[in-house]
Amino acid sequence: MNAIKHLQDQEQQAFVDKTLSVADSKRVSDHLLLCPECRRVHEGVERIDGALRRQTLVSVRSDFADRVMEQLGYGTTPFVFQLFKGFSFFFAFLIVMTIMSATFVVTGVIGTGGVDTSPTTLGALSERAFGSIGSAVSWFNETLREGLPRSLPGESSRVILWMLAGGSIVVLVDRLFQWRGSHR
Amino acid sequence: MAPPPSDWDIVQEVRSGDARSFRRLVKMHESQAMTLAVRVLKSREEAEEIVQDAFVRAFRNLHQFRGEAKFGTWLHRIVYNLCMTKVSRRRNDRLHQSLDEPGIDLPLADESASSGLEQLQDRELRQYLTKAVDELPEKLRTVVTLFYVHEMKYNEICTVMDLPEGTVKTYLFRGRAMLRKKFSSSLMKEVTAA
Repeated sequence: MNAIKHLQDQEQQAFVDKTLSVADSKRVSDHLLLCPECRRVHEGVERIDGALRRQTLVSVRSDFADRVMEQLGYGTTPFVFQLFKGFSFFFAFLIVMTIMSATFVVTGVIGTGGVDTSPTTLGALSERAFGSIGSAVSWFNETLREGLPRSLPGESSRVILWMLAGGSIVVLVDRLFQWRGSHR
Repeated sequence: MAPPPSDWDIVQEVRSGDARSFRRLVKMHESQAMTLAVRVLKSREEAEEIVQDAFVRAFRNLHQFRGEAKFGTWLHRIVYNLCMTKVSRRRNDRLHQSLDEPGIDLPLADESASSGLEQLQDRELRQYLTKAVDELPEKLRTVVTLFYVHEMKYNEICTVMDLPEGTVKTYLFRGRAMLRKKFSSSLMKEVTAA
């Protein structure tokens, strides 16, 4: 009886990988010509192998490298933008305070001589203008008037000083968090 | 025209103080590192986090890179180690659900090169493959990915996974055998029908 000895899995894979010796490769190749069963297995191995090899790499966000460099402290963002980004909290704070100051100036609460905190002007005007926010502003101005040194010229400069101090604290805290983030 | 600088040249540039050159290394290796992390973790968000961390660690430990292996191999080892740390954390945290996320397809290269029928068959095969590869045990999945997608040699896979060559070969053989087993019935049908 002429029993056919089929190819083993290892031989099939090695043939596809082209890691067999010339003699073994010829033997497998000849066998595949004569044996339809092994040929079917071979076609399967080749197809899986081919499909695996045709898989490509996962795409990455276009700004991935920039984010890595930012984390390392070597961002590619121009210095002016970095500065703006780093001080964004401060700028936001400054804008809000400027709007508030401008409102006081326009409404006559802050004049060249300082802040008039009398209930008739400040309270009435700001509350009329902003309602409950106005009350908070009145309280804030009162605190400034009481809390700042008397030697400083004018209430307006004191307000600006408070703004700078508050902004600096915000920026420092922000920087501290960023530094901690990059040194985790 | 001068040839593009090698990984080693860029590493030397970074070491000599030009830290911004490291960005080129990131660009050159980001996709490969991400592919490995996605394949191991099966979660794109976590993979991105891990790969970013890996690059930061590579930068900070660049003085330890001696150039005995390729930079990519060294980086992949960092990525793989971080992934395995994440995986073991997940094992401890039974509430983690991301292992149940559906597999992420790795796109086929240059599909236009094959005919319409082949494309269809390839797409079907890819769907089977994605699922089947994702179902492989972690180490077999990693070896299969590094061998086929990253086209790494056995010795490079050994470095990445810190395994002897014989083990890597065994994992690859077992991984492929499992894939073949999964596909055998469907492929038999297709080949017979063709």
